[in-house]
Amino acid sequence: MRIMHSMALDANQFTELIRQHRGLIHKVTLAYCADPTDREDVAQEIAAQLWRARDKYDERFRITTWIYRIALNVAISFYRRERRHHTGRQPLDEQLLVQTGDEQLEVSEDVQRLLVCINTLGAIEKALVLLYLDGHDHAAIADVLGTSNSNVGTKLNRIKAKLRTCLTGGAPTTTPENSNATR
Amino acid sequence: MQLDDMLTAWATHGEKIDRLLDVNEHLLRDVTTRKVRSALLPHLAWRTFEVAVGIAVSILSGTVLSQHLDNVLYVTVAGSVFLFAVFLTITTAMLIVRALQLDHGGRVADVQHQVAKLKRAEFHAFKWALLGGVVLWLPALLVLAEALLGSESTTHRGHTHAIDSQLLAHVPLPWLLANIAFGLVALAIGQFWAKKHVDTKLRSPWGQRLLDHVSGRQLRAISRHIDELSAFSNEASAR
Repeated sequence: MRIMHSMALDANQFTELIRQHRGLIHKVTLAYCADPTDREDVAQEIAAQLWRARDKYDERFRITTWIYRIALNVAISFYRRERRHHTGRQPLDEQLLVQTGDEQLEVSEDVQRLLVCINTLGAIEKALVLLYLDGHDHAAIADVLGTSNSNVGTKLNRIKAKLRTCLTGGAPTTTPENSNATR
Repeated sequence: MQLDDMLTAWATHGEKIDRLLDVNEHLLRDVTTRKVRSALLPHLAWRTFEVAVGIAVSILSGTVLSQHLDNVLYVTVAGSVFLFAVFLTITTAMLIVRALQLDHGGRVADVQHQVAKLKRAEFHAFKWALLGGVVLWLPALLVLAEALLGSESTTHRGHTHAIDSQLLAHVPLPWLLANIAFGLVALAIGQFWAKKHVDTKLRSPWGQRLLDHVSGRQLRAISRHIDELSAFSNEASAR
């Protein structure tokens, strides 16, 4: 049985925690939301969920793993809801992918291409790539996504193959979302 | 090109995002701090004027009091006016000190907390000025008129009356006491009502609107600016 260690954060500490890891939340919202307003809504919802779940943090795991788990749950829920409402959605505009509020984030061509390729993936695949790119090992990814290490390895290899094709100039193929891919 | 080749580029991308969000927050904080300071100036100027008026009223009522220390009516009435004026002056001065102590460079949540406390303090000062005013407006008027007019003449219902410097002594005592009694009843009811229906609900949307109205336009503007900064700090991840 897993022992939960409460973080017992007060409001100020929590705000500071969000401030420290807002880049992470930004990357998640950027991957799942095309519209900046949607990104704000999703980020707010992520912050609200983190606040509600602050007592459930297990200190054996990295704080970023915990934030990722909640942020991805919120973002994926939003993404699926949006897909149901907009079945004929278009691929994201590359410019939308790099907008950061009033300032335009200078994104290297490589990263721009990567973002476009990531956008062709399904909801769970996106989550997997984000976690992998941010340096989480298979065990942490498996924990966040609620699956096994071997499943993570298999899926990651498949995704790497897809992204290789996309990144080397092959036509990006949109992956239909596999809603129970990892759970 | 493979996904593994992108790890460094992605890490750099993450650092850029963090840097950009920091810069945006820094710029917004600068702009907000300037707005807060400029909104605070008229607020402080008005409160300073109130303190000056309070000091003047304290001196005038204190002068009348000191001239009639042997008269129970004067000691009671002018003494009450004097104490009330001193109380309001000190309360207003404390509001100024509290406004000056706003830590513009502090954490946004702390500044928000300080502004909220300042607004609540403004509300309580307003409440006591209003309730105390109901009790003491007539005595204060008489004491100040006596202090300012001295033995000048005044016109009442078409008749010119010469009044000497002891204006308060000429007021019918029952009438004065009735006014004070009415004021005390109004104060008690007002305080009871405020405690039951207002003080406990100051955190509700209705209470916040009341605080906004009572604390004035400048503090309202300050709250708005700080809230904007707070919204950015909390939502910057989404921008």
